[in-house]
Amino acid sequence: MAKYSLYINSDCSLIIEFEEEISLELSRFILGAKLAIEKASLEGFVEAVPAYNSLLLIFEPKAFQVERLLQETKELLDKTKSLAPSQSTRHDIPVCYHESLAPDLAYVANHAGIPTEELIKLHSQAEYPVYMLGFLPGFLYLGNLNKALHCPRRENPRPRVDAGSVAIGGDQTGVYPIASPGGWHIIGKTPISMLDSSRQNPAIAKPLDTIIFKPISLEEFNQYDH
Amino acid sequence: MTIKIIKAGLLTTIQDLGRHTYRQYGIASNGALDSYSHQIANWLVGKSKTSPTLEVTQLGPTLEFTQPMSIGISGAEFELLINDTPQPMNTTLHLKAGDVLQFGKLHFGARAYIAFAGQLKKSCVMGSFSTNLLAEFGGYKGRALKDGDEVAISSKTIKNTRVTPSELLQELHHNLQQKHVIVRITKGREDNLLTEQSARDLFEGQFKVSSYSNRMALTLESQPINLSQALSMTTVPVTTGTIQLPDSGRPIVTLADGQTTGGYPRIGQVISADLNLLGQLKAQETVSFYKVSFEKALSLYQQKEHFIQQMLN
Repeated sequence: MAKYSLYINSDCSLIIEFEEEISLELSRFILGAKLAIEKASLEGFVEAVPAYNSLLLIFEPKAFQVERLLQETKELLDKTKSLAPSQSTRHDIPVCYHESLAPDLAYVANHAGIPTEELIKLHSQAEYPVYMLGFLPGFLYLGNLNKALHCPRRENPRPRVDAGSVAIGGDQTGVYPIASPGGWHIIGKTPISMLDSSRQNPAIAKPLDTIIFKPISLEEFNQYDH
Repeated sequence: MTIKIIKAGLLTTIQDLGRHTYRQYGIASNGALDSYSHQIANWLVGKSKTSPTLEVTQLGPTLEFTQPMSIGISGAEFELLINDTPQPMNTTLHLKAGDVLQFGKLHFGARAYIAFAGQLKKSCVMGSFSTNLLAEFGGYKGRALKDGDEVAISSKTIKNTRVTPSELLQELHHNLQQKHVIVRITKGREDNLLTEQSARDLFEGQFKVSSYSNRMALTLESQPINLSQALSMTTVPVTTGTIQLPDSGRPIVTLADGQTTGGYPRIGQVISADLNLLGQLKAQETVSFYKVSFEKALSLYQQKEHFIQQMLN
């Protein structure tokens, strides 16, 4: 069991914090705790929001009985089993790395000191685990970006980055699910929608799923309906 | 019938009490920024607080009703005209077919709510009618109303005319007229990084609302607040009312459309009972923070809910 601290976060939320390094193992515990808490139907429970090394528990303020909820949460955490790896799903995301859709591909390749073909190969060969969602609706925080591809964010963020843009920022890679201002380097674009508001899970993946970027040609990209 | 949007105003959106189980997918709660005024507007037309209203921002709209409709308007104090004749807010208004409702001068506050006796012909997205402006779903086509839009709604008039008790308005709006709002906050997870001086700056200073503020966040202007040490934060979940301190030293307060995660030290959290006040602030107005315990925050919330329930009996 992961070592945790439990705090009152607001007049309607508790937060569980973990001291250890971010890891898939820790995330499995956090997701296991989330599941246990969701199943426990605590009074006034609204939502559990997982992050890298914390788990936020939101309640209705009218039902926020702090002492009791602290106690019940502790009991649930002490019995928590980590989420099994078998509950993860692999998602293939088609990405077109054509320069017309990848304004920063050459910059990142140059920064890494490799040809663009090599960058595309390294970026599309890895499996990226989803640690959490946030920042934008449906945005997946991914881990495991190859060290060679780390690249400091743009000095001047773009006022608008298109939905579907695949990008690298610092030690992370990700896909912009909706158009937004953005400071990451754009190295490609996916033709698929990363957000579907009609689904129970409006994002395409959940924490602990894995993402693989599948290179497609510009021709293939243009065949998608978008 | 429809409501014809003759002039849409600055930012007029469909809102209700928001969607509340989607932060884990990066989706904010959305919903009326001043949920109490939203509730009062609904009460004026005999609707529950979960019914959708139109949230009007600073520069109000002009609307034409093609069929009879009872409406209620509460929140920021606007001049109202129906067919060019002044009408009061906080009173049920009974409109005839062809009536034109026009918002005039704004006296204080920032947002008002228009509730309708009829039902908006819209469906819920993720459990809410609220507009998600960022991801463009919910509400009216996922966006703010534009000139020329027509909003489908069922025609309905009611017999009663209700008037919002003045005691309730006094309680909710007592410091909006001064264009300065005192907001009560509880401690933030990283407020141990506040030095004696920076804690004084936070709790004794006044913060000016910047013109960059919107439904996502209030960005505040002040002398920079300096923490005892720079902190490299791992991304954490934040909620409506979380006060973060970016490197600039000027606090930002997350609102209903704000990001679900943050990466700056959390120096405070606006109490649930005062969240509505954040939605009534506009650029150049000022806010100051007063710290209370979690227990006090909860009892203030319960008192406020109880008082509103009593008043809207």
